Amino acid sequence: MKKMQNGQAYPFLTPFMILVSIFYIVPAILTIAMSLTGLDSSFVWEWNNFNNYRKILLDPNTGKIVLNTVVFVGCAIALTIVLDLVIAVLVTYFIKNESISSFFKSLIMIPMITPAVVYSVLWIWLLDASENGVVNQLYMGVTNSAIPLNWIAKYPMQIVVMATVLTSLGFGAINFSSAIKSIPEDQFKAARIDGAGEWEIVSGIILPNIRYHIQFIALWETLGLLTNYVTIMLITDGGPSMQTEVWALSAYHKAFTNQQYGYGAAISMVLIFVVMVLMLLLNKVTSRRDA
Amino acid sequence: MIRIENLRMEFDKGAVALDDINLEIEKGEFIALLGPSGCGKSTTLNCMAGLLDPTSGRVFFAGEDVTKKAPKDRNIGMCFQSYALYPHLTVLDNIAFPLKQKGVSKEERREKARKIAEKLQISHLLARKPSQLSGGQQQRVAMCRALVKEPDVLLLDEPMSNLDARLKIEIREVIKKLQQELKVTSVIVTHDQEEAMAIADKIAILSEGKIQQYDTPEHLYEYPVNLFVANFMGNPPMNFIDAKIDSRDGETVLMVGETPVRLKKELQDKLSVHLGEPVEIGVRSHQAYLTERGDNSLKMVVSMVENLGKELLVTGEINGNHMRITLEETERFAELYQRIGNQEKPLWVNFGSRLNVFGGEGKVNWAL
Repeated sequence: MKKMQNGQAYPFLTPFMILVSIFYIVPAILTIAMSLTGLDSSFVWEWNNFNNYRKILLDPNTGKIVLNTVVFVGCAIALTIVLDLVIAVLVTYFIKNESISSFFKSLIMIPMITPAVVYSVLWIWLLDASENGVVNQLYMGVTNSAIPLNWIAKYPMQIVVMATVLTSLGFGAINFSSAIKSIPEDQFKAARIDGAGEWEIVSGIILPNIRYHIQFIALWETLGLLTNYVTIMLITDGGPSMQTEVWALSAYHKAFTNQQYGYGAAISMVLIFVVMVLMLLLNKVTSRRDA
Repeated sequence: MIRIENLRMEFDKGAVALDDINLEIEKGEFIALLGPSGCGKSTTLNCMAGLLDPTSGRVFFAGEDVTKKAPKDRNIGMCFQSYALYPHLTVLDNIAFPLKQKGVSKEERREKARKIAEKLQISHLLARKPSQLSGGQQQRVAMCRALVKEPDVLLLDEPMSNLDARLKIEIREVIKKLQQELKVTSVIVTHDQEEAMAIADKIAILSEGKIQQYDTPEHLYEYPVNLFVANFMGNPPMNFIDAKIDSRDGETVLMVGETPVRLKKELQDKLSVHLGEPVEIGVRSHQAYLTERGDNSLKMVVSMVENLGKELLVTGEINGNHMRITLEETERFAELYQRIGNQEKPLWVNFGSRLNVFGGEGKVNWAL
């Protein structure tokens, strides 16, 4: 009986397996193969040993890019988690009125649902370096300065982090908010009777109760931040002078701007390896939650 | 110790949860708030705890007005239906949590937590997490946490609702014994009348946000002020027989259909002022008894006989009203069983001398 059921499952899975094979597994194998060739604009598949990987290690920019990636992901993740928690606690625990808290929750969803291109153009427009830029008008108005600032050139990393954090806020905040909502009301009552203040309730009841959610979101967002370069590409394109060039963006640049497909593939492979390690960690976190 | 004055609680949209609640609880007393769900018993308890702010009215602890005080400043311990243990803390830290908030040193609070845990026989569980405990064990931990800070008042919000019947009786005894030992003024909220009767010195029965009767369990059982209380107290529930107050041969009687039920002199005096009014006679199953035809008795056609072990529960119809009688002569089971559904072989039932008569608006007990 059991065997028959198993057998029946395969035909149902087949269409998906085919799709997954064509669009994920085959490209993945191609990428691995490509990373071992010197493939460039001439499209010659020529085995070049591990030269691409050696090139990564020897590239003088590699250190800078790794550092950028760590700074970018680290800052963005820390800011995202902290802001997520603040927002979630505020809209769920402190604001009891359902309609007001839903209003705030929808508000922080806006950057998330805005197309990345529109959203990035909005930032560029706001931070325009001329005196017509919105931020510059504000800045000149407040400080009485006559010279407009080139914000993106001056604070590229800060701006890229801020723009990215805003887009990722919605997901984590909503996730935390529903996690807080699932804490039994009695626990808050018990804590209040036991003499816990608001801060102790947040740190002693809310945070420990949603600790697995925090771990999950932290890892999930890290994966997203490591692989997603669209916002950075659209706002600074890695510049000025490599200041915001992160690993994923550098793979894109090498492969599509410089047409060094083999080299780009090798850079991607390194990223995939890091992501896979993180995925394993994520799996471990979620399975511990079930136990 | 606790005094509640004119407590009124309105929720948003005008729903009245509590309507003029007055309660007085002596020091060291164990009180039960009893009623069906939605009667306001938990709301009353939450107002005592300070978890809810009443719309109006005041709460006094030992003569001091605590209505505006925060829960933590009232020195209360509270137990919840869900136990509300902190899942990330060990049992020991759970119990010590209230002391930690009070700023008691680590050694001292652990010492105190161990002591109270020993009293409730959970010393071997101190290193575990709440998720590794059974319901009864969690209940004991919750009790420890409520008592560890030596509260002036212990509030128990349906603490045994999630336990099975056997464990309920066990925990009930533990709580009662502990309460007597510590002499802490306690209030328990429950919908289980048996639990309330077993554990409490006095019971307040609530319905629709009002206290129907506040008295000792014995009084509530014997002298219910109205039909609601009578219906709520006792198992099997009291029998209610439709009747009419009438007079026959100069005596006030209760007419059940065409048959008169003759009454004692004092009850006649009480009922004579309500002559002609429809009433419901309230009879306890064990107070009615089987007798001969003509002995002030009513005809009952048997519809069911159950053997409960120590007694028989005979169910039947008296003039269209459901009636249950308990009999101690369990050897009559077979004989009674044969009468089921037999119109020719009815039983004759005398209601006994302890009658309750509910009539008028609010179904007040006119026999009191």
